[in-house]
Amino acid sequence: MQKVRWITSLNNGETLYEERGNFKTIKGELSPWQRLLVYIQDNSLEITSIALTYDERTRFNLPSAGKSPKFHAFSLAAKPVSFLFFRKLGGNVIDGQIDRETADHFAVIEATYEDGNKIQLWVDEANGNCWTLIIK
Amino acid sequence: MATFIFTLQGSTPTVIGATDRLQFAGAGGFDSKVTVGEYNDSVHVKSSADADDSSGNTPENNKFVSAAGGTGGDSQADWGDGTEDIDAITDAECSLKINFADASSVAITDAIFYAYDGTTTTAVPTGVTFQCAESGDTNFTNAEGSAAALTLADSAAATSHDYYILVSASPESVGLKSAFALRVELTYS
Repeated sequence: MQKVRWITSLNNGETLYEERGNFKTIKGELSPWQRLLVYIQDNSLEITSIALTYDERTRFNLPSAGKSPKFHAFSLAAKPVSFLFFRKLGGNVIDGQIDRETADHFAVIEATYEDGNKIQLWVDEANGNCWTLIIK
Repeated sequence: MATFIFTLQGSTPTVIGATDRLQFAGAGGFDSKVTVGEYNDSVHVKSSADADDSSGNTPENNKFVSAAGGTGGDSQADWGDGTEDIDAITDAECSLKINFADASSVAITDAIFYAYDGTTTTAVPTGVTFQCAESGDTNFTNAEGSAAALTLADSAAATSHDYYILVSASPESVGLKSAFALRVELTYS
């Protein structure tokens, strides 16, 4: 089971969690994220915010597209127009079979702005360390 | 949990275990040397105890011949039948098979494959020229360092994904090349 999981809020007010409710991993079926995308498309919904959680304790948030943040600074900030989640896995071939202990394994959330710029937030599956990238 | 399994293909496939090495060797077979400036005539899986794990499995060797000497500028290689354009190779004739699997059905994008010095992924391997191509490609990629990586095809949602890759290496100087690792990276969701 992944230690780093997504949490996403939709424009209908729902907040959905990877590995909860209808978005648990089911062997042989679409991944929780792929099923979320189907759910969003089938119901003409949009993602308004996305976050990652490590071990169900620490939460890492990207800027939200929500319209009523508590702090004024957040309401002044540019709003992303879309969000994405994926996992990145890398490892050496010559080191043979790669397992949880040896692979570089990150969960990533991404926010895209109207001008095409993107912010990515990477969280290490092994230890919960976090990095951010700005992609122009 | 997602897993990679690397296999050296042959009459019987050899899974490259956690402590094994993929060995590029000469025409003399396991542990034989490749002449400087030439490419591998054989390829093997070497265990941590220095044994030939692929002995008896007739590994598929892919030997780089030219970057653009084939039909319409295609790259050429020899995989046992003489020199051919590399887009004629079958999946089963590629030396390396990489399987990525996950419990759930995931899509793969942005998969890349490259050689580096084993320490810094942007650095080229030391003393080795490395060529690779995915099955179906028309040309080899001189994939040394992450910036020069071979791009692998995207793959639609499934629980298991296979990549078939031609690999060939040439020493630039005499001696064992230890600052030489192959790495794969991919995005899945």
